[in-house]
Amino acid sequence: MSTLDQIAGKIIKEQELVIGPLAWTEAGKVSGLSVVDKKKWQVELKNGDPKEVVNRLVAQYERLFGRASHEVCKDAVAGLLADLAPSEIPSSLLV
Amino acid sequence: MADSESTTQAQTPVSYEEQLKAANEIVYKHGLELALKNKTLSLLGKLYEIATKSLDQMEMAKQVTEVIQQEFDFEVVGILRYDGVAFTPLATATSKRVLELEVAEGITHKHSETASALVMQAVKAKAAAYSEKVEDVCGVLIPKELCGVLQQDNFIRSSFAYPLFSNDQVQGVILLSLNRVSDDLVQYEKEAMASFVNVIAITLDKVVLYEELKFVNAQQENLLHFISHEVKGYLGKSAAAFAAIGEGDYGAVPDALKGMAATMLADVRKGVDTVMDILDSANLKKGTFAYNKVKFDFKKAATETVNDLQGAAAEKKLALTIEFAEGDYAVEGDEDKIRRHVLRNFVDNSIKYTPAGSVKVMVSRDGAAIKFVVEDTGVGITKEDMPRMFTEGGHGKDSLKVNVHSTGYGLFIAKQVVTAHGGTVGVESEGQGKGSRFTVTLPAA
Repeated sequence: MSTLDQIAGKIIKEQELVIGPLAWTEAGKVSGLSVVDKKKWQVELKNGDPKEVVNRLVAQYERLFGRASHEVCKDAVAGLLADLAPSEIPSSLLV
Repeated sequence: MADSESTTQAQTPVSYEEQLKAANEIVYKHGLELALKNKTLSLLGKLYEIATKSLDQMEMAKQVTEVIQQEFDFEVVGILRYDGVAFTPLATATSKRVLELEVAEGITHKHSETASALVMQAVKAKAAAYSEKVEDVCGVLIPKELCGVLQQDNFIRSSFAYPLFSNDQVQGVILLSLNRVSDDLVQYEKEAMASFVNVIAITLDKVVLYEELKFVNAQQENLLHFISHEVKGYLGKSAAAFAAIGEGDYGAVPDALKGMAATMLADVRKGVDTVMDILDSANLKKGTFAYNKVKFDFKKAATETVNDLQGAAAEKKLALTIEFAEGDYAVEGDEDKIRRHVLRNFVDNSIKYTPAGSVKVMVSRDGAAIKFVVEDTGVGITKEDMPRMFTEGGHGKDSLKVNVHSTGYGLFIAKQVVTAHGGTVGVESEGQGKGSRFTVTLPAA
């Protein structure tokens, strides 16, 4: 499982704590993201640039719940982002 | 100005979608607040659960460090115990990649290493210490070789050392090393770190107290064992001397002296019994109480016990009787221990706690079990005393007024012996002054 897969899984896990099962419903609408194991918050990013899939996931939540949900995504993955080079970080998690 | 602005705002049409999104955002923010509190509570709940279940400081520290490392993805979480002089590492949990580094480099944790500069700073200042230098955390939890590798790979960017207090004294330190600096920590992490340190301090305090108590108890038991052995030896010699005097081994003795020797011999034997009870209880707790199990006739043992105690019952003008139902009464067990600690103990107890009336012993066969019942018309047992009946040193509230020589070990030992033979003990009483009924069941051979 790649770091970006882990990042997407962690974002969904954190959103689930706030909005419940709706987090999975919204994640399911993101193209390029497929669920591996909901109980372990494992997802796989495929079909295209995984960074863009993460950006779409963040945007999906922000479109419905605003800026606060964007901050939740960033906070959730702060520990994982610290180990990535700036060029490897999805742009939505930098701003 | 304000009026003109509000007029402008009022005139701006707000779409249904925008209103819905605004409402969604408000609900989300409320949900977020709750989620943060829930996360902190959930973490504290996990730590409290560890605190409740752990009685060993190493095991407690292992579980706590693992929970915190996994929750926050910290690189290293370690707990040290501090006794005012030296540091002892209790546990360290590391991230997967730090663990892989340790394995790849063949790094082992050496207890001989000294505490790191950051840990020392937290202990001396009695306050949280923070550093962004890896070299400040090199020491007993993070070996110097590992520090070197971590420095190269830039895995650890900052570390916190929190002192763990007990009565204002530092009794340990928790070290947290992470791949971010303090400013990068999110709100939840900051709030949780402030909360869990106190829970860990309380947990450590509890297990340390438990271990100290266990150590003191073991020492006390050893001392008790030693003293009992010594006293038993002296009492044995005294008993032999009084018996020899009474039997005229040292020449003819006057009747008065003979009587006194007999009384002293009886008293010394009681003393030996008391010391034996204490010794047996200590052996039971240490697990060194051995049983020599062979097949014996329970009916014969019960009859002889009752016969032996007829004198004691007659002195108090009590009617001591025994009844048997037809049947086979063979039991496989330690006859001596069952006679002394069970049969004699229950009958003797009833005699002691019955000022007037009777003590009735009934032995019967109930399927595969042999039932031994001692029923008396004695002082009875209050509801408050009932739970203490078979506990170690478990006197009834007023029992010492009736029997000043009670050690409180008799029924405790009886229960242990019966349980070791696969049997059960029980007691019933309608209350103070209403007599008691003790029941023992043992499996038939």
